[in-house]
Amino acid sequence: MKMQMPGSNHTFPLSPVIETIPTPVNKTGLWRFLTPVRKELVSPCRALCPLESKIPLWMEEIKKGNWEQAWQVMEQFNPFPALTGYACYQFCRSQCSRGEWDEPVAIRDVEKALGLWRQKNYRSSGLAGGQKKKQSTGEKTDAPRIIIVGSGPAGLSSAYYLNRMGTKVTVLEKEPVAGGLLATGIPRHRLPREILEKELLILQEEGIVIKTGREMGRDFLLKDLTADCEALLLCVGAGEINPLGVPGDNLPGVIGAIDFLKEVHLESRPVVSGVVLVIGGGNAAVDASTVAALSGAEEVILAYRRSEEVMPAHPEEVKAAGDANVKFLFNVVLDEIHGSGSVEKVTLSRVRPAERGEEVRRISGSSFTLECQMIINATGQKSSLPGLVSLPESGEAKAVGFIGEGCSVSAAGDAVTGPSNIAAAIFSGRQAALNLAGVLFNTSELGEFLLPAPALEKKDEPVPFETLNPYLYAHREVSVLPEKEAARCFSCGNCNNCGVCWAFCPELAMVYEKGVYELQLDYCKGCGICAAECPTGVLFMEEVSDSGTQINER
Amino acid sequence: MNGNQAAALAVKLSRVQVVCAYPITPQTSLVENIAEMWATGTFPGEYISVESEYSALSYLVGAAYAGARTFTATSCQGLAYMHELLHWAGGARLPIVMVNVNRTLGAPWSLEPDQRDSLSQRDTGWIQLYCCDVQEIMDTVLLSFRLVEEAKIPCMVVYDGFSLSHTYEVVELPLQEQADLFLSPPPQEALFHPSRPQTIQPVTDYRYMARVIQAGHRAMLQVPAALEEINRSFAGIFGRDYPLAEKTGPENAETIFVAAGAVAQTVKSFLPLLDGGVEKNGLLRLRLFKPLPEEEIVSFLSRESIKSLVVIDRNLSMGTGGIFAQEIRALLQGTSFQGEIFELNLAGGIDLTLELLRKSMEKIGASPAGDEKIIWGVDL
Amino acid sequence: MGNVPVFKETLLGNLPQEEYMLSGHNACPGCGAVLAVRYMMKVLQDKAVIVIPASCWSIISGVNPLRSLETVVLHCPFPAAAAVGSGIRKGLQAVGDLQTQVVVLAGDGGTFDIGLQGLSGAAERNEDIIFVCYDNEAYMNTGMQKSSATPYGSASTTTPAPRVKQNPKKDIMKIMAAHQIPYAATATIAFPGDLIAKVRRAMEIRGFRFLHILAPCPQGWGSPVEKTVELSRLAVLTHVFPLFEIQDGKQYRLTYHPEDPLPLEEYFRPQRRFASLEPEQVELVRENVAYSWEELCRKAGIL
Repeated sequence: MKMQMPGSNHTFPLSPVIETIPTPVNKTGLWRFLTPVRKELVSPCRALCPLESKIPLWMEEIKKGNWEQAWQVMEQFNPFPALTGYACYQFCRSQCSRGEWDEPVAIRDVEKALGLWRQKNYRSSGLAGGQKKKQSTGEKTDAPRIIIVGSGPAGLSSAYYLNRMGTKVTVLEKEPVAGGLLATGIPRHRLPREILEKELLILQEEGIVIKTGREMGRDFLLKDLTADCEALLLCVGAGEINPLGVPGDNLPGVIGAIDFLKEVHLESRPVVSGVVLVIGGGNAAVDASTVAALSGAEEVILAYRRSEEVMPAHPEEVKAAGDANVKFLFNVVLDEIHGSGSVEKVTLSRVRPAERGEEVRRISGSSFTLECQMIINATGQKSSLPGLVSLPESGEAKAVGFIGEGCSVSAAGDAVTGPSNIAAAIFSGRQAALNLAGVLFNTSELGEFLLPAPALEKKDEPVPFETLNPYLYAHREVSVLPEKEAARCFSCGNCNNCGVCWAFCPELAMVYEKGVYELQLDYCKGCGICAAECPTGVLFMEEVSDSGTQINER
Repeated sequence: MNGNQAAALAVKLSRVQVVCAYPITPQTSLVENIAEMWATGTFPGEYISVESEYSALSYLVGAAYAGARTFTATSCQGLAYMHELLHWAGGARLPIVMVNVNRTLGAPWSLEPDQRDSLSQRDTGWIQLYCCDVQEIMDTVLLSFRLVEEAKIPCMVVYDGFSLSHTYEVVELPLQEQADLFLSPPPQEALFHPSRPQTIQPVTDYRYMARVIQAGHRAMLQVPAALEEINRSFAGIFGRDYPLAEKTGPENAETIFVAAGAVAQTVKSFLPLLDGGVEKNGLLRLRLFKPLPEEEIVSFLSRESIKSLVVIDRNLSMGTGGIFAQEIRALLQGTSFQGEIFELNLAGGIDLTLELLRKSMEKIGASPAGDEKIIWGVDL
Repeated sequence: MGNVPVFKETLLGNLPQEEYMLSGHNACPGCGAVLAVRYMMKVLQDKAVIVIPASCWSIISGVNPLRSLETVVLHCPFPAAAAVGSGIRKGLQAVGDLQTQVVVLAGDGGTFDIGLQGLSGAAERNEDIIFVCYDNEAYMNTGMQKSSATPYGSASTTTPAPRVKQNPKKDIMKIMAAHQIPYAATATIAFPGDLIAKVRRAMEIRGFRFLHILAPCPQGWGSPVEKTVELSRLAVLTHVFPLFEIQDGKQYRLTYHPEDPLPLEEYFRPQRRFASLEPEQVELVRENVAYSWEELCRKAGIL
């Protein structure tokens, strides 16, 4: 059979073909009356950090394993995370939002890990300050010369930033070792000295000249220096001891806490023996007690004139002292020191419990005596600034005047603020460097890359826990692995591009491009899910009059 | 073989790819026959027994969306249950072939071959072909696939329950080679792929909808001529020539019976036995009912000699009358037809006997009683 | 392109960056059903066709000629979805396409109510399709009429307050488990990682797969638009809507285990539909939820 199937001569009209049009022609953004606005807010940790460090930002980088980037963020705020990672009192942790969910993030441990990473990798990282300096100054020989007096945390911090800006920095230290209180004051159990030494080594390798054994007044005069530099920065600390002000306070055996710690740490006092009485309630008092106890004292008693609750010393320090068997006497005052030739015993009185700032009142007939061979005075220090340099009332570290031709003189650190802590001193040094940059350079030409972070203009209320969205995180314990621990950070108030806004947008109006999420207003219907779900609390729904503009505030 | 077996065999010959059905008396043996062939491997297509007629046709809507050649079969209640999907398949212009074995719609329950089930689906956008013997069932199922695939209109092949579904007749079996020559091989490519986004039967407005309906209507109007051509092609291969409407009787016939399905076959066999015999009586058997081949019918019925038309309806639209009668009346409006139209109504599935037909002829002789134009089979 | 890596520490999990859904669709602001489908499409990509019976998604997928999904969408009558989907799968197979997944996307009406027979039939036949029910607990497309997925105590336009719905929500997962289908799972939009993992899992299995996705509807539930995701999360954290999966109708597994449930009131309070619930009625719900949770845990071998 060979028959052809006849083709149909009939045309059957079909339904019109549907040429679909993708919905993006529909600008559904016109439905919107509230618009998501992104605002960067202060995290609770940053609000408490003396360095105002943007902790969530470097946490974020460590979370991703980007150590180099983490260091880049960190050094804008703190060039010495290894030092603070060991010895900072981690004020940040007390208000960490994660603490409301499970446990606060171990911020200092992560910081320490970053500091140690830096110490290990500073040469290879390509981000070392020395390299930046070369880039910025090239073969210039007319770089501004800076002399910094004092190599404590404030001096070193200033030196770091000023060196990075391309100046020639010389640091003068009166003690035989550099580091100031980092070397002489902080107990070794809080800061192993090899960490400090490594940090000093890095600074020197980066071109900072540190000269030890050079004391102002003894080895040189301030006015001699002004000819050799364009700026002079005094970071001489607050090492002047207030006398105890009781009979017998000049007997041998009475020593200031700072001096005591220095003697122990510089090994000019080989042993401590007998009963040691420490007067005071601050960190210096507790540190001195602990060090005395660990250095061979028979018994160490810390006497504080107020109660335990209001003692200014950091709880970490108190705990360390307790662990070293230091005994505490609260609500007592020293009346008199007895002894012929040296300290033999003291008379103390009990006082009524009083708040800080409130005068203490003795309880009559409550005095008692205590035998002791040594008294450490830790009742307070004051600035060691020479008299010719006066400070403005605000106490801010600023250029304070000019001595001689074209030499700017300023001060920073405890010398300005009074006794504080390592973080505050580093911050003060950082701000002094920033101020000096304004004097020495046209900062806009210098570029912000080389400048430290500016201080917060005003400390806004930190992000409240209620605006976060912790439900996106599983409860998890503190981890010893830095990446894992950093990942516990909620990144309060700082958009970390987590993408939750993108993930939960029913309009697909959040677009992820080149690592950033941007809002397409053409399609945002303003439902506000992004703001409600944002784990960092940076998105807010607001009435925005000009609907045509991009409104991501960064 | 019987009508159901013939239909099942035609499904196999048509190389149907997806058969989906739910059994219902009197269609059951059709499905069972396909199931049997499927189980033993003689039917290579997919056969799925589903949980309802609703799902059976839904299933085929899906399979036809994908582009497969599809078949189902049902009857009375089942067809009514499919109603929503009949419209959907009609609107979506899906080339589905379905057998409906006529049976009375309840209530009350009945198994007799009333035609109301298929006729009440007149407006769903399906072609309807009524068969009068087993051979025609086989052949019509086969050629329906040609028709639906050309027209993209679903088609219902209708025959009477029991009197055709279960009655054994001698059938000339088409060869598979013949069937393959007549009907192109089944589709081997899907009509869509997810990588080419498209939307099928979306929510639409009246403008698009009106175009869909209009196109459906115009396509439907092409069916008679197309079917004629397919009939010719079929005749060329199989030697059996099917008209759009079967016309019997002399040029000058006075009475013409109009009927569809097995009843028409019965009338045909009774013609010589009636008064006037084959000289005076003729028959118009409606084969293509939806759409009615207008030209064909009007030219046959509007002859001057014709005095009366007797439209035999085994169905009824309550309050109006027989459905075939309605359609014929409407067709003859404005033509030269001069005669009178009588309705012999066998609704409920009344079996047409010679006696019953003779009695109704007597009634026609006398003028119809009362206001009712209907001669009730049940009253005779 | 690829995964967006930053979710590592959140419960979101890794979400593929590619989108197979488009902006500019017509869903109400804050629509949960949109999110459910958006996540689902990230897995289905251009490997699946979507079958949609009458539902919100009939509109969201695009009114002619618009289209919001980057794939083939086939619409079908309300009760027909499971059968139409099965037929498409079989039809594709007949014409030689063995790869394309067929996914039915039905609302709770098309699943719990009018679609149940076809669903049961397809499940029993173990048809090779994925049936996704996005459950917003009432007929939302037409304005919040009660369905058998509407929970006890909820007002709707057909069960208006104070004569709110007096019967509990139909337990569709038990019904599906009773069919002993290869895979059934619950998911919700607040846990997109979980949802996506389940769609992936479903994609790997052949046979009938069922996903029950809770998708809050701010318009219907009378909740603030921005709380859509929060309510989805609260439903899980209060044990009202546990996240689990069932293999072959037998092996139960909890995919997220909230320890102590949050108080039910936290879930009810933002929703106006529950406004008329009296404390003793809440207590009744609490007992019911606790019973179901315990039963589920037992089946999952946790108790």
